[in-house]
Amino acid sequence: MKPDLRELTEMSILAALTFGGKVAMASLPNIEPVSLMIMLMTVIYGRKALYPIYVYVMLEMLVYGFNLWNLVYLYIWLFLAVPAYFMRPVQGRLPWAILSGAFGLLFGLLCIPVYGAVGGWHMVISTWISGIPYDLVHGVSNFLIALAAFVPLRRLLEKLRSRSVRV
Amino acid sequence: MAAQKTTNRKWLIALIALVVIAAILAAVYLITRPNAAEGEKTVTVKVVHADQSEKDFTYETDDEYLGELLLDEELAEGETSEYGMYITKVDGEQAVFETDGAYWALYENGEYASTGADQTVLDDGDEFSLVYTKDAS
Repeated sequence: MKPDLRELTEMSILAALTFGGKVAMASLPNIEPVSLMIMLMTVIYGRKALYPIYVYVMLEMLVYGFNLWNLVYLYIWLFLAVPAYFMRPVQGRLPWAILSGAFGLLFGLLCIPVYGAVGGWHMVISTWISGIPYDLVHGVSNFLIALAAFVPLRRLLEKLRSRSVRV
Repeated sequence: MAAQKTTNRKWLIALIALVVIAAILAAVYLITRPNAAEGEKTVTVKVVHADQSEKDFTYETDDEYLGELLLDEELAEGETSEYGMYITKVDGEQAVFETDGAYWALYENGEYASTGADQTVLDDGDEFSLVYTKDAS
């Protein structure tokens, strides 16, 4: 489970790219490359993907401070990474697009534990319902991004890994 | 070949399930959305600035939601966020939460609004307040 030096370097770059990609796309509400990157990191590194995922979460907290929405980040990416881990042998584009799309659609629902703990049921229901249009955008954009980019990027990362020299 | 066909069918069913979930979400949103009152109404918006100075604005409008009115009258500017319209600037004064915890709090008829401005329905005689507020923490 411990990454070697080469993996550590790659994971740091991928975590930084994930954060940078999110910041670059911040003007487009709920259209983000994070879900794609989480799935890619999981298929490439398996369980070790937890390292870059939590480096990304840490970057979020360092830049934006520790608050309600990044409390959600402590667990929410696992709802994507765990299914992705079991789907690693799957090669087609459609299954990955479906996984990413479903995660986007259900993002608001997955936030319920934190909002429930903070504001009770009233806050859960009003926050979730008012966020539905954004969950729909999130789901559709995640689906399209994964459909277009997951397979080529997975091939690229696998090729780069097989080419690189082990330190 | 047959196994591949079964797998493809499985993913096709998953895709259909995804579309059904999206449709259910859209239906929940549309059914629970507050119904807007049509026609002209008169509403007032009180702005309380950081220096506690107050300004009242009265509008006669056909708009259905407060967010539309604030943007149409150029009284406020906002960003679209996951939770609806987030007001950043009112009557020329900017609140930047990231630097000092400041934000524009919205009150509807004296009570803290439970919806974002873009979901707050306008009724004749409504009184809104936009108050420059600093998070104590």
